[in-house]
Amino acid sequence: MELKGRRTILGNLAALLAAPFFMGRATLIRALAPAAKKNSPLPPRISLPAHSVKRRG
Amino acid sequence: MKAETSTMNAEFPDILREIPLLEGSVTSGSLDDQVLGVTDRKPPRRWFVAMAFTSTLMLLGFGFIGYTIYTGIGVWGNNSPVFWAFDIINFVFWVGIGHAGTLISAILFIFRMRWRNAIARFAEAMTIFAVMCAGIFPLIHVGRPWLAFWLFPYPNQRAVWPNFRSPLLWDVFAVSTYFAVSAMFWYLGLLPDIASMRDRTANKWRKLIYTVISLGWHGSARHWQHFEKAYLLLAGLATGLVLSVHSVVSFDFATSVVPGWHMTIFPPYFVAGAIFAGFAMVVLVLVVVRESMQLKNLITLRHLEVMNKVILGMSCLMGYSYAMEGFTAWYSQNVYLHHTFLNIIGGHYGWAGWLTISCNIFIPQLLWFKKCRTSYFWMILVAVAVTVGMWFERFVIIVISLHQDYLPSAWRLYHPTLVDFGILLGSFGLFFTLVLLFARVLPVIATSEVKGSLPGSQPRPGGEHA
Amino acid sequence: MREEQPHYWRSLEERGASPEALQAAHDELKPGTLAPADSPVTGISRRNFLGLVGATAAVAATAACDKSGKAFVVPYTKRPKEVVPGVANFYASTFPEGTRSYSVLVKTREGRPIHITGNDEHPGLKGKTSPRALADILRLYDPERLRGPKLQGHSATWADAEKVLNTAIANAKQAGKAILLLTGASTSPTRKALLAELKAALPTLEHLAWEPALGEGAQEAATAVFGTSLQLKPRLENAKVILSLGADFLNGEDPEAIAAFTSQRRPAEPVKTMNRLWVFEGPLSLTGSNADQRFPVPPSRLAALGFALAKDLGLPLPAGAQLASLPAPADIPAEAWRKLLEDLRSAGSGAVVLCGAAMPAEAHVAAHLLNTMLESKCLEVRPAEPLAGLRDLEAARKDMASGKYAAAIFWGVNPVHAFPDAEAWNAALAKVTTRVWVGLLEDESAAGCALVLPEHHWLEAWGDHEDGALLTLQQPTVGALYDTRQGEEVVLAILRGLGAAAAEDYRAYLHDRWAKDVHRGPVPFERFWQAALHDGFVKTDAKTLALPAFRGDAVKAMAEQARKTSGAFELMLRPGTQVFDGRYGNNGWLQELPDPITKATWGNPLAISVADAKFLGLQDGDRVELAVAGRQLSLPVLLQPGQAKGVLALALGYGRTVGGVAKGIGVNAFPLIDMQSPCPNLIHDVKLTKGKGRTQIPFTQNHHRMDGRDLVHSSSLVEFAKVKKKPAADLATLYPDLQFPEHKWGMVIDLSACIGCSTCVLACQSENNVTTVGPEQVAKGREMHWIRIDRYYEGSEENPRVVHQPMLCQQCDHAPCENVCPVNATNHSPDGLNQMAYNRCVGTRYCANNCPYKVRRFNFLEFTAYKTEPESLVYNPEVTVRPRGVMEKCTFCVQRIQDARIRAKAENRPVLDGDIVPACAAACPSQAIVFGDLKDPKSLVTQLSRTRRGYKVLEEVGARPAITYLADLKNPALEVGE
Repeated sequence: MELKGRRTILGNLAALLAAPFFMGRATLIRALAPAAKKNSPLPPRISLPAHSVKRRG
Repeated sequence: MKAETSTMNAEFPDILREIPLLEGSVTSGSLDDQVLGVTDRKPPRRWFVAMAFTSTLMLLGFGFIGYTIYTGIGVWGNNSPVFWAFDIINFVFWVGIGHAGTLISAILFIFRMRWRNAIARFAEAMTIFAVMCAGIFPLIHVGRPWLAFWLFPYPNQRAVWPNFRSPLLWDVFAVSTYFAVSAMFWYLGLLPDIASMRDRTANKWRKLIYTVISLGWHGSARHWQHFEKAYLLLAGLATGLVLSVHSVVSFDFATSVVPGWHMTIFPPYFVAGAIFAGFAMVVLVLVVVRESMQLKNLITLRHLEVMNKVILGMSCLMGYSYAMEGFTAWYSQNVYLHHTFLNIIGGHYGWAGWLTISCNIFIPQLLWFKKCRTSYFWMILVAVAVTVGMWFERFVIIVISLHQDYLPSAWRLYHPTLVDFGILLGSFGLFFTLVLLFARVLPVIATSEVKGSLPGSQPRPGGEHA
Repeated sequence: MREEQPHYWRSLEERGASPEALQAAHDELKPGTLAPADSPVTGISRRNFLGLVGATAAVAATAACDKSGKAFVVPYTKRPKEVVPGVANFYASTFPEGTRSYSVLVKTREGRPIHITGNDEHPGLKGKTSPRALADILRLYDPERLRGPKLQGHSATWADAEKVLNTAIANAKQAGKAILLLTGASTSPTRKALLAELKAALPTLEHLAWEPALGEGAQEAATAVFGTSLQLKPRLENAKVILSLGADFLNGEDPEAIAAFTSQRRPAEPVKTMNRLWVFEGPLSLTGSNADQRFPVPPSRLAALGFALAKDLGLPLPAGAQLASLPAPADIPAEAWRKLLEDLRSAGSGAVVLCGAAMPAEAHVAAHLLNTMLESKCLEVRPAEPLAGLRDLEAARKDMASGKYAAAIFWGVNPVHAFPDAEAWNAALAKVTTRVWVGLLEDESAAGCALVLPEHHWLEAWGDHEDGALLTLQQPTVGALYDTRQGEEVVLAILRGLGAAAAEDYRAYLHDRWAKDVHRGPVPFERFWQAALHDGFVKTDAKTLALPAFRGDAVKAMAEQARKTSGAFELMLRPGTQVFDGRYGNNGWLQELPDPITKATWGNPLAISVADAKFLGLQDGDRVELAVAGRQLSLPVLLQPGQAKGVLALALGYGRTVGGVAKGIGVNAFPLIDMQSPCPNLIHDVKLTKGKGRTQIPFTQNHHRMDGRDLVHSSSLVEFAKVKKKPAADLATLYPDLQFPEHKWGMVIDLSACIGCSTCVLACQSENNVTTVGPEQVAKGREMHWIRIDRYYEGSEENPRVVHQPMLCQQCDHAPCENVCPVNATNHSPDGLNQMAYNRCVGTRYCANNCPYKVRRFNFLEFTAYKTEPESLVYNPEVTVRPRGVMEKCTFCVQRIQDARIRAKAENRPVLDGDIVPACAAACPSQAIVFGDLKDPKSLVTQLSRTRRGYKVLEEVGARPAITYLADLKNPALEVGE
């Protein structure tokens, strides 16, 4: 019983230390390196309208 | 400073008898073996079982806390308008529990109630652990805990100071003062005992550690003189803290405009509640300690009985406070306060209101009966009821008042989440883990103080030792 | 101001409900659009230069909270003339919404549009616009927008797409087969001309213009009674008595009507006369909630009520009109009936009868009859293009199934969602060889089309729109974000393919047409054109149309139809307040905007009367089974006080299956429509049974009565005349009086003028970068709106009085929140504002607990997931984007205050009254919100705050709010309510 108790405690510690490996890559990456490069769709381009007349600036 | 013995008590009627401090024959030597020797022996099986359970809870709690810090307060049940919920309930709960220890070790010391000697150490340790548990919550309940250090007044190049008018800042000072003074008081009291352990132990490493932390104590008259003075000073400081700390915590609520919070009864009401809850926890823990560590002769049934009487007294005070709240709500003719009070006894969370009243007022009335005061079953029942009741009292104060205040358009129900419960249980896990560790590593009874009240320990007039 | 307490009743409390996991990927971090796709700025190329500047401006604003990456701020080396970083540009344009259009002013920063208001120069709108116009800016930046044409699901170039399209059209023309063009309604004469040209070049083209959600009764009635389809726009400036038969004209879609209506409802001293609004309706609408006298009447009986009124009115009937004897509806008390007739008679031409679009044709005929009899001068007649009805669409479907069409083009419609029998539609569509879809966001209908052509958002496109005596212009306010074309340019491409001469682009076409048909006067056309674009509109000589002669013989048949009664339940389908017909389903701002009456968000629960719900044992959120002619729908109910017994109401436009935000929200009500019925939006013989389980409805307000608290001062005109103004309560205080050396900003909110339309909520969201949180978080109570409209019921459940109260930070002089912040993150400014320093806030939330008005909002999670383009482009760079863990609240638009002060300082003059207009005040169509300097005795806000109607909310708490509310006065006809 005592051994079981010891084992439980050590098990808890091990779980705590091993947790990062089980969190999943996505969570880990988000925590450590947020801007992972992926295939991105075409980004929007901001350009001025060619023939519009503005009201005031 | 007379030493009380059972022989002296025979001359007095029952009701005036002083509580015997210990049962059976106890000498300095036997005391050392019984108390200090615990740390030399291997922990029994049940210790590991208990430790496994509490440390699991504690680690789960830490996990949930980590998740909260990572994702945000949104993983809790807090919302608008219930911006504070389990986080502050737990904070107030744990701070409250700590008050019993300080009352026992400081106030009872000043009043020279010698029966406190056997239980003061443990109670004081519980205070420190309770304050540690409490201290977690202000830290993690903020939206940006990595900036929580901004609550401390430190000179900075932005010339920004915290807001000294805010009760939360008073909390910072009150709780940190409480922790600091309690820790110092506790440590000071430990010094002679650590020195004893240093002298007894044969283990090389233990001897080194004990030597370092005993700060070179060798029991000279000079040392004792300093000790007594310092101890008295700290006890005096801590005495004030018993009344002030939870009053300051109550200011978090009393100085606000929230109906149901804005009441002058809060400071004494909270202090009474703290002592109430603290004593219940102390009774619970001591019952376990005296049984499992074979300390029944030092922590006697009479100790428990006296503490139960305190619990009963506090329960009556709490009953008075609740009645006063009800009276105030009626007398104030304030529609907002009326509504809050009616919510407590009949709203959506009315069950919590009645649970609180039952656990805090009705059930402890059992302690009028000596049988209940001295029976394990009844006193544990009452202590657990009080613990639960006092947690729910904070729930009632915080959640019921917040969920329906001034503008009905903002009224909303509160539902705790798994993370809330996980952190609450984790705090219990942390508390009991620390208690279990303490029980194995340090002497749970202040042997130096108990020795001071053994027969023959104090000089008699005439220079003889009786 | 009430001397006696009104009778309050038990509320319809929310009970703890287990939330149903909604299908869509609504994780808590979702803002208004999809979870951010990680699309980093790929580098500085000449092409992306401006894009980079736009992006970095947004990133710079978020840099404080975005710990992850660094961004580069790159200055222009050659600055475009138009853009001065930090200075906004404004463009006039028009927001088209089917049969309506709104002239707007668009604010752009660093080249990108960030905020929309009404066109201030427009003589009618005067700077006001509809809530959906404000919110549609988010659709410009919707990350799910198509970025280029698609052919069979793969990206294609426009050249390829055009080739495919033109080949198909040419083949069809050669084979003599028909081509179906299904579009939405449009108010654009130039587009109409273009389509006429297309028809001329393609004789087999069949064009159907369809608005699925609007109902067909109005058009049918107008055709029957006036011989032509027309639109009647209310002109309420001089209306003394308004009778609404289910007409929700105050719902925000007609800002001019709101302004005109409320202009007569702000009794000044001495009290002048107010207009009077009578409302007869089934469900409780926003208009009904503002009525002086309202009666719940099932929609199927409104026509009978109208005809009965005509009979009892005592005015001569138009020639040929015969009214069979119809009894007055039993639920109307005789006294009320008498008073209504009296009101109508005495108002005469100053009376007007309005009928709701979803009402059946006979109700519209009754309204037309009454208006003709009264010779009402409160209606403006406008031409309306005849729209296709469901019978036309069913015919088209049959034709598709029979293989009649070689090609089908869908432009701005979503028949797979809106056609009642979607399966049949899809099956029929499969028989069409070439299927083309033109639109902005891929929807249910795009899935079945091989050729998917992305069109510009209206903010990127050209156009013109008829607006009564005005012609408004729509011009691009930003260059096209992606490889898209204007829908009209697809038509031009087809024309080119057919060999017809066509302009190179739509701008040229519009320009030329205006030169030919619109240009008037001595000014040379180019100047005229520039001026028109500058103003956003021109005045035309279109004469005000007279109402055509009333064909009395149509009345008899309609009156007969009005006799029909309904079964146990009748179901009224109406366009969603927020999502309209579903086209805005992907707009998180609109999904999260609480319905002004129900305060429900993110979905369309079935509204049921309280009496019916009690009988069936239903609570809010309980699921029911709705059965209509063999079709079944399972959905949650919502108990609606004031809804007529036997009436169920359901919003259209939900239950979308495509769209990251729209998917899975609510249920699709379109399949319930009976295509054979003359009034498809009003369904009789509906069966309702209790279902299993409960869905938590995400309400922003759960408690609906004031519980005896003096929050909204509401009384009748007559009672108010007797009330004396109470002096300000002299409350003892520990706090010193604050001194304000220069200005003290304050506000007045006129509750008589506020109708509860919630336009201010959207304007604030747009101006202050207020985020959306999604349905689960709203259900938990974490919505982030800085201003909200509290809606309270008073009186009975069958027909309650309703009051609306905008609630925002009161900027209290003795703010309870300021004392309790441990880190001094909130404090008071020398000009009267309660300041919130986001950077300093650690998030203890004590301030929110201590706020008696509960106007503080906490970022419980990282709600601002707009970290990447394109969503982040909508941010106003003048306002910090708040991170997780930080408290936020209304700042009285401090950025606008500072802007005005800086301008005044630069021009060496003091700040004038009217220089500063917070977003909410600017948007409010009834001018209910007035902002100004309370230290200036001549400012409007000071004068208004001193009137007899003025009071402060929760004054007894002693916080000294800076906002004065003006009591809500109604003009009931009867002494005691009901």
